[in-house]
Amino acid sequence: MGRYITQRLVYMVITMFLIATFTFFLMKFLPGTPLSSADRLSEEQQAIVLAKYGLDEPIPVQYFNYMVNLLQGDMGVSFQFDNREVTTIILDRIGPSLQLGFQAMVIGTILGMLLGLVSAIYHNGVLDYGSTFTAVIGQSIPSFVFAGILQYFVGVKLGWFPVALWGTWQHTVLPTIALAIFPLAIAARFMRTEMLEVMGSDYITTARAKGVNKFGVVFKHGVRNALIPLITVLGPLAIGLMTGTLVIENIFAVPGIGEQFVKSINTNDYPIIMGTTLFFAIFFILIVLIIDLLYGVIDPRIRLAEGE
Amino acid sequence: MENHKPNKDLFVPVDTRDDDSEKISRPSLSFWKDSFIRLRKNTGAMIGLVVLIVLIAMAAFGPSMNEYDQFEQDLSRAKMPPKVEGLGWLGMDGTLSTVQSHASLDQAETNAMMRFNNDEDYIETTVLNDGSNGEPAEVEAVYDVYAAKDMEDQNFWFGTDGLGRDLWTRAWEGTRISLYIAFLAAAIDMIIGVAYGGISAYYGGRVDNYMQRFIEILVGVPNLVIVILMILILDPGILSITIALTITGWISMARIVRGQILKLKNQEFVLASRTLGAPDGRILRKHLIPNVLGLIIINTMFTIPSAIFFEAFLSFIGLGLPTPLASLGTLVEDGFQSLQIYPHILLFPAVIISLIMIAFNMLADGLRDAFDPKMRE
Amino acid sequence: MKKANWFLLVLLLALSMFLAACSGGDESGGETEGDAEGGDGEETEESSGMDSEQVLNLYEPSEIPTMDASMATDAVAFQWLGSTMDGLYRVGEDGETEEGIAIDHEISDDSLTWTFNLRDDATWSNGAPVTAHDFVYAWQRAVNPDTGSEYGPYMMGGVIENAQAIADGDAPVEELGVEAADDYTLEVTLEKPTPYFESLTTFGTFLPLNEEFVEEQGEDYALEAESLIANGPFVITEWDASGWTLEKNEDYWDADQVNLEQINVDVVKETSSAVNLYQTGEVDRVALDAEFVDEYRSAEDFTTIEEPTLFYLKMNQENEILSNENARKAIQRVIDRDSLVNTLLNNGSLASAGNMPQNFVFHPETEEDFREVNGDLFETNVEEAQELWATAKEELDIEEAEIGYLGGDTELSKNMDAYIKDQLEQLEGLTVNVQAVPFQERLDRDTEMDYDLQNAGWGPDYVDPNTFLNLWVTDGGNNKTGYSSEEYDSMIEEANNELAQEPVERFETLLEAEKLLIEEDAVLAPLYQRSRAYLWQPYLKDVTFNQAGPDFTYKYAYIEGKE
Repeated sequence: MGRYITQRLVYMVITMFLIATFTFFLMKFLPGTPLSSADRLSEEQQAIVLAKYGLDEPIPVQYFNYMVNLLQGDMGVSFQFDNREVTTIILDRIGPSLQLGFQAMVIGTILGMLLGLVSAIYHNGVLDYGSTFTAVIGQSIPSFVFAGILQYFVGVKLGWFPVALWGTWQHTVLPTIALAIFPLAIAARFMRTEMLEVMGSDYITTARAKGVNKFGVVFKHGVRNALIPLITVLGPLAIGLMTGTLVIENIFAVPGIGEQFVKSINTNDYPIIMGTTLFFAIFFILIVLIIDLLYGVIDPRIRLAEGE
Repeated sequence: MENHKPNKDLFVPVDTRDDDSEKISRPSLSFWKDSFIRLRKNTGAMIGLVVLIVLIAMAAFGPSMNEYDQFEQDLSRAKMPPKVEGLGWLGMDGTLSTVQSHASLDQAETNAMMRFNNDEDYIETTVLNDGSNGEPAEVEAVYDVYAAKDMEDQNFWFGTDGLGRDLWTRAWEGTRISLYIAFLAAAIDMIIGVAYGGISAYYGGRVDNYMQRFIEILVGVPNLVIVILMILILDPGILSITIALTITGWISMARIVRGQILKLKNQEFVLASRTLGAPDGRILRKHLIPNVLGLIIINTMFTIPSAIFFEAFLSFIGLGLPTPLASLGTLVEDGFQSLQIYPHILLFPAVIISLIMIAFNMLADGLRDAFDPKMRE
Repeated sequence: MKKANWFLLVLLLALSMFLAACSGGDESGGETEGDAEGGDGEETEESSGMDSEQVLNLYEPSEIPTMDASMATDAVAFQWLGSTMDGLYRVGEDGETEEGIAIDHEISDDSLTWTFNLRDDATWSNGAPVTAHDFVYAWQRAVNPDTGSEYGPYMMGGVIENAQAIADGDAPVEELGVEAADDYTLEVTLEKPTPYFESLTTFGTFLPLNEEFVEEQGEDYALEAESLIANGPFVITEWDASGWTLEKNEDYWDADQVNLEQINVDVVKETSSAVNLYQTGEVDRVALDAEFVDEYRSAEDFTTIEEPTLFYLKMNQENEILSNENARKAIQRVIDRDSLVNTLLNNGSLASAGNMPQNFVFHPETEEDFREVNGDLFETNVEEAQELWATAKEELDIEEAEIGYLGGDTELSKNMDAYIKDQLEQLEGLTVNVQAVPFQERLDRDTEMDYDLQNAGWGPDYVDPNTFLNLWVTDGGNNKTGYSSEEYDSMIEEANNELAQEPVERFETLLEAEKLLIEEDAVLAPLYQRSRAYLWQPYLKDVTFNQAGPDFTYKYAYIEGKE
């Protein structure tokens, strides 16, 4: 196991290197400079500003510098915020995004699993239709529409929670709900499908025949086996939430990283785009690793280091 | 109890024929035929299928059902509420209404009139609460927009948008484009994803390792970045959005298929098949893929809404289809801005998106049950 | 200001109390309120009716990119620099200037040397006095190529002696034409007579900087609240990604005039969210999009503010079709600008048919509005446009034409671009391909002249016709249309040199220049002059809107009748 993890970590570094290279050259394809009002400057002056950002060097040199700096944890200086380090900007903003993402993920998947479970246990009953309907609705409304409606009715009309902004835990309630609705729907539907499949399998019939009661079977044998495919979707879902927060963060005026990401795209602020991309990448690779490790824990039939 | 022994004479031998033992009591059905029969019995799936067919038909024929063009602008008829002859009771009577409240009744009435530019001839006001009970007075004003604009002979079934374009036509044109993007994305997802995930998991070892690292690199770059690159390199439009969606879209399918096959490939029936000398391709096609088919279909059904949603999301952050093209995403985004005041602009495209989503889900459920060999009677 | 709407106030108060109760007290809780009340006892006495709590809540659609005066380039930065710093002069009402650090100034006979007399009671928030050396340091820093400032060279180049040469790296910084005669006398030498120099000194780039503090902070200067220094009415005390807080600067030389104790600014990017925040009483003012205007037009707290910002179609004359004058005139005349402003913008914006906003500059003697003197330089007329277009097609020997159109990616600009496309395509055989790009990218492509038509806008940097008219001189940094007219160049040149001290002749020359630009040469297709619609709490008083520099002045603002 230890050897396996070390090996995976080495791969991670290689992957990160490739991603950094890939994004770097990707960005060089795109137009955009640190000049926010180039139309007011003469060409000599523009050249001076570009030199300040090291953008006058040939691309291979820029690439080398970027990689060397990256190793030291320096992702360069933002174009739109003068003198501000990309690393600082990301670190300043990661908190709210992680908090929202985590809350939404936990609440969404747990509630979703429960809904899916209820559906599966009462297959084709009223409860099944009810929870399936909830999941479908949650999945069918674009998150920004749902967020807008939540904000207007729950925030303005009912006044239960703050309309927007960031600060106390109350401020996180509406964005968390808006964000959780999608993982909830996905988790519910996957759970339902998997549970139905598992509940139809032979070992469940055996367990039932041996006299284990219905709920015992569901929890002891069913849920555990149904979790595996669910875990596979959790990874993409988590990264989806990370980028997905940007819509929600915009609407609820949350000072998070997703919102900053969109802003950077709209202002061609490549150092931040690259930094955030790398950050998302590390985050995702870690999640994939955790999921692969979890597989082994949940289903002993899957041998991780097989063939090695 | 007394041991009762029946008389042997009570038994008569069955008249057996040689070929009888080989007879099949039910008609022989292929996997697909059988699935189709079971699908037909599933009401939910059938409803979903019908809804989908209706939506696709509307996307095909809806735009030509009235005389308006999707790009035809006329600011004099901007933001008209929906009106359908005979459906007035549904609220689609071509009027706008507002409720204004104020401490004084007169002021509330003035405000209500001002809301519609004091166009007195076409405003009907009703006092909901004259304020005598201590609460603020409330006045409802109903404004007959069509009469006020002298357009009583016209009917905009879904109303018009801020540029006076007919929303009925735009909504169905938008459905067409969204469905196109979604189907294409789903198809590519399925083909690439299944092949990739299947091969990766089945061969395992080094192949799996390399293939997974490749996925990690692809997936580590948020697809937003790729979409932006595409939009800058290609002309922004349907094609670049579809390409961008499919470049990374197949990954989740590949991961799910891989997860399932990892689970299945150590099971006995695979071992049995291998022992009997079946080649890898056959095992994949005949044993592994059919067993993950349910999951593949369900995931495809998830791809379709997420493709439609991703397009809507791109519209929201300003990277969607170029104006004046309509997709459900751009229409919903357009309507979102005026959610509080002209909800009809949001309502219809949002309902169509939801219907597409629900229909796909019901159909997916039905298909899952139909494909599941364990559900066979 | 508006009459107080008592019911609304009560309702809002109730709502905000309810919310406060719900959210367990907001961030600006107890302590600050207590401090504020203790601190301004005397003030409440002198201006009766003013609320005891003088806290203003605002939002901005984006963060402050930088608080470094030399580096600032955008409206948000200039707004908050203007609220925390005083330059030589401050922007006053109606585009006039008012006393800042300078009390008055003398101009030499040749108009080239300006001597400013500074007040001796102004201090920085770290206690140091504000002296003439601070201006010398700041201005030298702004044009120093090592600083990498964009606005320094732009605002000072060609105005202050040697600024251009220094910015291009051809002269040492010390040669900049600015000198401290003594601690409280600043002498500025101009490159050429500049009638609008007084107005220029209110601009953010001309703010002073405390050398000792800035050098001490080095790279970190103006990155966070702790690395900031103020000499203006307010000080930034908190600043992070979610917003910033300003508090009254008790050491400000004119502190007696400042009523607000605190200004809270949150970053809110979606208009609908800002409107919702306004409705729950969490912000005191919100700018409305067209969609919201219909709903709130009848509200008593609805107001529109006219801005001297112009929007127009830029036509790239490197494009073969657009190089034809008749084609450009046809484009000018085919767009129905009245419908555009009344239905699409719906916020009080005015259709424009010139290159100078109204209520911006006036004739030096008759006081007539520049815009009114020149009037509309063309009228919308589809038939005439068709004829012009037909002639253009004949001249170009084409039947059909296809041109690109660079538009914005916001909801409003998308609608507008769709509308303009439709209007333009009334011209027979013309196809317009709209490309929606983010703002920053549009600027980049403008610089490269990589466009055919472009929906662009310009707001003034100082109050003088020159800020709009010198854009279009040959090879001007912002021209980028390929327009080059010797006649036009010489008019602008003349206005800024020979006629600099003849206000009437200068004004008239500029009037002629505008006619030449729009009426004869049809360089641009003007669209509209922007107004913005606001919901504005009636209890927020004496906030003035400025035509150039920071959008609003909060120095004299106060809250009355909120409680």
